[in-house]
Amino acid sequence: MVIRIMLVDDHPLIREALARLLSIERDLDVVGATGDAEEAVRMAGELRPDVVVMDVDLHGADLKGVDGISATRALLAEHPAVKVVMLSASCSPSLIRDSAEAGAWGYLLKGDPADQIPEGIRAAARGEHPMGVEVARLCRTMGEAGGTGPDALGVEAPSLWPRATPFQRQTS
Amino acid sequence: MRPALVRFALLSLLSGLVVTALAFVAADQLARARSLDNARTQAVQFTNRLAAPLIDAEVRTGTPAGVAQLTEVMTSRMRDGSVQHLRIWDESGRILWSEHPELIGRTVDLSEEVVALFGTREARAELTDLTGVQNSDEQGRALEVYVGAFGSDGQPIVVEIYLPTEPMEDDANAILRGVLPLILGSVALVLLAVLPLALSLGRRVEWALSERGVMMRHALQASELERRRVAEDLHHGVVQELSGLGYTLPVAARHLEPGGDVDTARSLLQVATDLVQRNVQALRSLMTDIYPPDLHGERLGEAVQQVVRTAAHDAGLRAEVRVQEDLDLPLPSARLAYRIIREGVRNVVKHAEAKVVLVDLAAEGAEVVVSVADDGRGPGELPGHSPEGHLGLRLLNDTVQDVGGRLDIRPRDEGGTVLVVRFPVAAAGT
Repeated sequence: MVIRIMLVDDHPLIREALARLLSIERDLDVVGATGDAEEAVRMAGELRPDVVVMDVDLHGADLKGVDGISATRALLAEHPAVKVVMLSASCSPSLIRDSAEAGAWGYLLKGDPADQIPEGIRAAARGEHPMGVEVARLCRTMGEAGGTGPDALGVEAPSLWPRATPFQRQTS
Repeated sequence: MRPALVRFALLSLLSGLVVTALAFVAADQLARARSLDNARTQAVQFTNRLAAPLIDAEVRTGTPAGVAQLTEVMTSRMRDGSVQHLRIWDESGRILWSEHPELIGRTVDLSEEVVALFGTREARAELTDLTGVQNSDEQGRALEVYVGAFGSDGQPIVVEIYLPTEPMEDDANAILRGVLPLILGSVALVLLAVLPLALSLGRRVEWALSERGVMMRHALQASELERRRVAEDLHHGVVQELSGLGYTLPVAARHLEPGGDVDTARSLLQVATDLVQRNVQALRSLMTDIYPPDLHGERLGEAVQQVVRTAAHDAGLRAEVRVQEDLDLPLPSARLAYRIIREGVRNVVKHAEAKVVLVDLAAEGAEVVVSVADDGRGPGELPGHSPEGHLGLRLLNDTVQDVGGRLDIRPRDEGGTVLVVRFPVAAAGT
């Protein structure tokens, strides 16, 4: 089965490089790419992707437009079956928490080894929750700081792709 | 109330008190010296006119008739209070007369100073404590005078006289009454004369302090903005491009494996090479943002040329830069000029939609004049759409005003916008 992928990132260079990277994987098919949040929602309806790779800092340097977390919320409101994997150059507890609350399925980091992108997309398609190493570490400390402990969060070990993660789909 | 003024008022009050206390001490000393003089004169007159003429052989031998006359004269003087105690000694230390009859005829060891007075007409006066004086229950102070004299028989005697201190105290009070208003008046006058000066000095000190605080805050805000820009530039530029590089190279590697397309690999490596070069340049320009280049003397011109041309080139603008030849600014002014130009060009690149940017830097008299002009869409909603653009120019405006300069943004006659900043050549540290 081929996984249909849509890329949302305001940096054309990242879109191109990701499309090129994913094009060499036989089981992955990039069906669309855009840098605009509204366009992404519309395209998702048209192209029916399985996984959307979403830039967290979608608005770019000039602070115009919608950020990737709001875009995720908007996209999932219309297409709840899509699995959105966040992709960002940075991660912080608040970004991770906001992404999880928006319904994101996973959180990957730009700058981590390139093979994590196809692996992460496949994991998300299988129903697992891909996380970058730093993201997983932050999730653990967030769990400890919250007093619920790693078990409550379901993060078992500092492994790259824990089977269970703090990401929860919104019940609505 | 302002602390400097409170300090001034307290110090003034304190010095007023000190001066007044000193006046009291001085008046007392002056009165004491005058009283001792008076007491000596009074005692000498008393001795020579009243006491000594009555000392004769009869008194010396203690004949009641002789002593009786002496007692009558002496007690009459003591009754009016002008003399408190009185003793008359002969050379052997025997008391020839005292107002206490039981003492008459006793011999006492006299001190050296008193012994030395026998055979002279000299007098010694001192302020003494009455407590402990023989046969006296009195407390307080008295003026004690020893007077050397000769009896009517020509034999030396010493008369010890205690005079009351009231005249001395009255004298001290009189002196104080006369002098104190003068002293207090002059202290008050000096304070009044100094007060406006102190007030204006205090105001200037506080103004300077608050001014420095404001400048410091503006400098910190500007530096904060610079750091945020550097972080954002890194995040949206170099980090994104290097991430793209990280996604591109594995694809090239895959194409170099058996069955891959070498031409694709080659073109991807070319893309990667361009990317690396572009990012080294971007990092270099970020380095300049973090730590501006040497701006001493002629270096300022070179640095301005470079920063404008680099920014214009990256944005596809044509740049014309005119820096006055042999311009030699103090370093803080050079730094401010450089910052104005960088901020101005940044705004042109971001907001003006221009084709040309014109930069002028010159000194006119005691003023530095910097202008950044463009042929874009005009000031309109300048400075800039984004909050960050507003912030950059606003902070720049704050700094320019801090050093006594002014910043204007207006439309150019030929179209576009011009930013003109004038500030004193000797602008303080920025």
